[in-house]
Amino acid sequence: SFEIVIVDDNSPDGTQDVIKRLQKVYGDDRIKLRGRSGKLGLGSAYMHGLQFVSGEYVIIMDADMSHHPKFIPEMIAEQERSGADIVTGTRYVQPGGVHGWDLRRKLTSRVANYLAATLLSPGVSDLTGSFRLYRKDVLKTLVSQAVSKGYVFQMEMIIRARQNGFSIAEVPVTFVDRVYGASKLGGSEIVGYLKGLIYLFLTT
Amino acid sequence: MLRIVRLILWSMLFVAIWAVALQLKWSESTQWVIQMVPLWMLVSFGFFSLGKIGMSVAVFPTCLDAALDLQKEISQARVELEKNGVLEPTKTNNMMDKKGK
Repeated sequence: SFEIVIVDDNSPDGTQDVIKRLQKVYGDDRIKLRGRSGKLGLGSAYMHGLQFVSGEYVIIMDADMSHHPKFIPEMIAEQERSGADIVTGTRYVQPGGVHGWDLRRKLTSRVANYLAATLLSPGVSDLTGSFRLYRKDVLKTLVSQAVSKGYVFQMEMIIRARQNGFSIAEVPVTFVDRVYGASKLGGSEIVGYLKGLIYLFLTT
Repeated sequence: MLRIVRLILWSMLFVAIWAVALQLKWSESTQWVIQMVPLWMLVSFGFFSLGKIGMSVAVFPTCLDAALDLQKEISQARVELEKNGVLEPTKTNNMMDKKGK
């Protein structure tokens, strides 16, 4: 059995209306809208959403169609097969992949990954991916320990998981970017990433 | 032990061995090689890194099929969701509705 917890920070694009209509059709025991009034960060969104999770496992994913639900059964199967505490979707291992990135974006991602792998040796191929399955208490523990924001937050979750001795398995996933909305990767994101990387390198 | 601490300890060990090696009596050319070892290691690492990154960009996995399938699935989903009232039917662009000629 499953439930969907949607943490929407009052998006001005009519998201809440659509969700309410979905609830009418599919039931509000299945589809839980637990939003907040202001736009707060990702980490706090996870913490907030976790309060309403009634199951033993949590899958976190983006809602802009870049993460495809068809990988959910695969992640569950991998968790059952390996007993891992975390199953992370990797975009960088075949048959996974990315669509919608130009050469510059691919290069940025590879350099970022290389830096992180060299400095932190995390043992996973996709450190900044956000399509993951966690055991609920593992997720709670990690979110409470994490201090970073943005892309670095996802990295920190993996690094802290290693520190805590949690086991991590990987499942290749496809990532179709920019179907809805544009993903932002400007100078400030890059600087933030490097700062976060150095912070993790010095403190773990 | 923190990574940075481990890195510093290994570096100190390397520098100690290198300093000792520099003190020993070698032939001119060997002496020069030993002097150059750290620089050579740095440059090698630089080239190795560039090569690895370049390679990983070249073989970057893509998924055009997934993107095409997704478009189909979105259309299918729209039809279903319009049927059960979650989404409003998209307005059709009817030429007949245009005012004037």
